[in-house]
Amino acid sequence: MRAFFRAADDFLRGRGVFAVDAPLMGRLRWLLALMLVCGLFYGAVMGTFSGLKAGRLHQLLYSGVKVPILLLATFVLCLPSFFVVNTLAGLRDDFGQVLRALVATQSCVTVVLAALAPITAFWYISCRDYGLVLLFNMVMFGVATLAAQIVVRRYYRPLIAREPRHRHLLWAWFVLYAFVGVQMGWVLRPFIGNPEAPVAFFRAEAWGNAYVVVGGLIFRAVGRVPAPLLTFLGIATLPLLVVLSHLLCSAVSRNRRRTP
Amino acid sequence: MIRWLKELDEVLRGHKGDPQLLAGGTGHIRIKPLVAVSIVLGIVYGLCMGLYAVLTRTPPCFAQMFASAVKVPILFILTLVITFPSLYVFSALLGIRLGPKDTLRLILAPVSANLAVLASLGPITAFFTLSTSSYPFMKLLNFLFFAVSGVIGLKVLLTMLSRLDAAQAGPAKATGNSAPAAEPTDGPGPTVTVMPVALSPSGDILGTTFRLWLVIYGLVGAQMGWVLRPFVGAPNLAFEWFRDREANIFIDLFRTIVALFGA
Repeated sequence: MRAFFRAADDFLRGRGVFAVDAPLMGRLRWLLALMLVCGLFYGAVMGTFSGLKAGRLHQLLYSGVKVPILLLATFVLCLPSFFVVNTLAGLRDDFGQVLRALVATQSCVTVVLAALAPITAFWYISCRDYGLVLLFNMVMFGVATLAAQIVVRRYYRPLIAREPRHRHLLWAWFVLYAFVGVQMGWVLRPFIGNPEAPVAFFRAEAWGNAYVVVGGLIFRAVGRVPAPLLTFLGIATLPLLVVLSHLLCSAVSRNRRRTP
Repeated sequence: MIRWLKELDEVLRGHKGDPQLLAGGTGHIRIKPLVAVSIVLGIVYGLCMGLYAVLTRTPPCFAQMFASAVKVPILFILTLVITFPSLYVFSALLGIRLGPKDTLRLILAPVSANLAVLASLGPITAFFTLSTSSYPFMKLLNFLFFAVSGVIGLKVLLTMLSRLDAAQAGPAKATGNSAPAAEPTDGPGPTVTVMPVALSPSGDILGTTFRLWLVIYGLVGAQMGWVLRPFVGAPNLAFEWFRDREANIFIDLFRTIVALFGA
């Protein structure tokens, strides 16, 4: 237990086995352990909203297991394409370090979430509105992701100093990760568990697509735009987009030539 | 298989675009392993694409999965066959002194890189297929992945060309040969990288002509995908190898975007 807390402390401060230049194998164990334990902990706290009666306790376990699954599955799905793109960018030799930074990011998210768990519990006590609780958890995940940027920067700083293109690739990673992660979160519902609904690992209507649902909501909010108008707008904007992107590309390449 | 992957790995790392190697022509790019590995990668992504027809239909339509796995490699091969002559003529015009076989070698590397990116996006396609029943969404997602991997493949090609140009202009000057070499591009750096495309100034023939050819390649590829459809397989239509010719991919793209949220 004490070793675990010491490891977490070292990890947050980036020293000992977690120093930027320390070998990966020494810390991979710890990183995974941190992710699983802290993820389980926050997930369990997340699941307490659905009630603490005897029949509902396994929602805690379900939610607890889901948080590490969410992070790990998204990570595994995005890794192959990121590996190929890194290789194409000529940065294969740095990939070990990149991997280290990305695994550390996952662990950092869960550690921060575990630290935020008491606040979530307090929110649950003071607020019984399911919608607000959902929103609050989303905010917590957002905060944790932002906090994890500190760890990302720490491990990426030497890489970016050596090769500025790592910065663009890191952006690409976050875009891809968010794109897959949103859908993964949608599929793995319920994380919190509606107290009105029976406890379930997967929701009966869970299959579906987050983007289609959100897009449909927006579309209905905008009101029914007639299809011919949409088609016209699409046809009208596409050439404009092509021209604009071309101008942007040529401007970028001009700048690049100006600063050799 | 291991040997093929090694060859692909060298392409991805950019070793094949090494200026010293390119100075001696493109003989170091081996055709057979690259074609083989490209076909395998195409099959991998085709399987991920065809998964939709297996999961959304009762009974599962394995024929569509098989068809997609066959069609993705064919799509790339046919696009290459159709656009290759124009590429060869263009590069001859540019004064890149390469025979047809050399040109083929040169273009196989970017195509295999394109397929490698596509195949590496396969798991994400499969994951969305598992959880999504929306046909327009899957169509758009596949379109997006093909576009992204295509753009990356084209960048690889442009980089190799500018390197080749520089590498061939070098020895030509050294031997006092008054070959019609294009404008000398920026000298290749010590590390071989792919992302920054060092094109010569935009007034230069090389850049302009190749941009033109890339447009042709992109359009032919997109239309080829349309001719060879279905890849994903609309859930309300029966399986067939080829659909009737109507509309084109861009018209369908607008329809799909409208259908995604509107219907």
